[in-house]
Amino acid sequence: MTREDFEERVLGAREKLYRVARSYLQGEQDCLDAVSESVLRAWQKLSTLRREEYFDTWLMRILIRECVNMQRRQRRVTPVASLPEQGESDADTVALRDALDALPQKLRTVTVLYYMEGYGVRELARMLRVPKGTVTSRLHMARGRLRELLKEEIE
Amino acid sequence: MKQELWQRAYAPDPAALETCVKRALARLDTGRAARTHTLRTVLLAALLLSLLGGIALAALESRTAQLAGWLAGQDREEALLTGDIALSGSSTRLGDVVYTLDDVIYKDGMVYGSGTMQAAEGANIVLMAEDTGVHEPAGYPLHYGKEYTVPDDAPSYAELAEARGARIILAKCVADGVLDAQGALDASEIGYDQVPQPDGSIRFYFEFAGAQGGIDRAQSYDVQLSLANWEVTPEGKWLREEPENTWLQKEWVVTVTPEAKGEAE
Repeated sequence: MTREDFEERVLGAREKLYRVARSYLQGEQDCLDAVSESVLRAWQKLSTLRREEYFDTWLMRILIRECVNMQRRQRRVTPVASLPEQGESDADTVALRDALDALPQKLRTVTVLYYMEGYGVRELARMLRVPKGTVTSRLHMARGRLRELLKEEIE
Repeated sequence: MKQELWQRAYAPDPAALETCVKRALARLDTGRAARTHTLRTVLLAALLLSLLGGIALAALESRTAQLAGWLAGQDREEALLTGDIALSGSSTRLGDVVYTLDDVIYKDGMVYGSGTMQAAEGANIVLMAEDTGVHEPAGYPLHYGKEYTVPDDAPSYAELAEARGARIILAKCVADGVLDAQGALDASEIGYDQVPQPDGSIRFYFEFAGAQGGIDRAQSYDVQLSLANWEVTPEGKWLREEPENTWLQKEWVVTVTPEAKGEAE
């Protein structure tokens, strides 16, 4: 993969990277830092990418590891009530964001990757290195929790 | 619910994000990415170098440089060998896992290190690295883009544990940084890897810069590591919550003194 290809693919994936980082971290700057560090690490580790078709999954895995590292370094939990404002948002968006933030991390991760970013179960299993059954199970639990929080069916 | 509605929940500031990513891209190395080596190539290269002596002996004495080379290419290994190398060999035990720090290298404002996690003597456990599934072949570093073949009949971690009547233990060692004179941690951009080994142990690797740029070169370094391990069921469930909480954690500070002064600055 050339540097130009790498840059193009990273730029194309930037919003996805941010949203997934946001599912782990709760400050905008932390999310931007995670995205930035992941891009640098991905470039340094480009030789570990076995096939270019796996770039997306591979990059996402690097991002997730970076986010987990940042969570561990921060060693804090931000109460949902004190999350910073994210600009103008309608009530439904705020409700969904609060509900997502209220999920346990593992449930939130699969929910964001599946519903928000459109990854399939098999892709998630490969990305997160867990069995497909685990992905399915977590999605099921997440749907149940979100249904309680939102009073709405998640399809 | 439509995907766009989901995405709105975690939408970024578009301008800030674009600026952030473009800045990161502008910082990429101008050189090519590290070459990939097969394990056999690395071992043959090490054997050849050992016959030549000199710097080759230093290569074999720094397991950190060796592992860095395996992870990121021979250029990285050769570069680290010109740094300040501090041999350690210090060990500590947490539960049924023994952690040993092999050596630490200071080079150009960054600290690099590696070590081994292995079962304590008499402990009947199967060690598993982070980001590994219980159904993956045990002892093979599968996710590093290396070229080798896993035998079809290679047992998984779950199968190995069942055959031995052992518990599966996920072990982890990551660097927190170096402690400064006031006892505060100095670190940023911490990277780490945990590489399964055929003998059942796990090699851990770390590297980090300072919180305010480079770490100052010193006569010795107090390296703080965060150690952890916990049991994993054969189905892959982590036992880290009550009432089945097996999660052990501790911070471990090791003082290392470079014995070989290189071209660190």
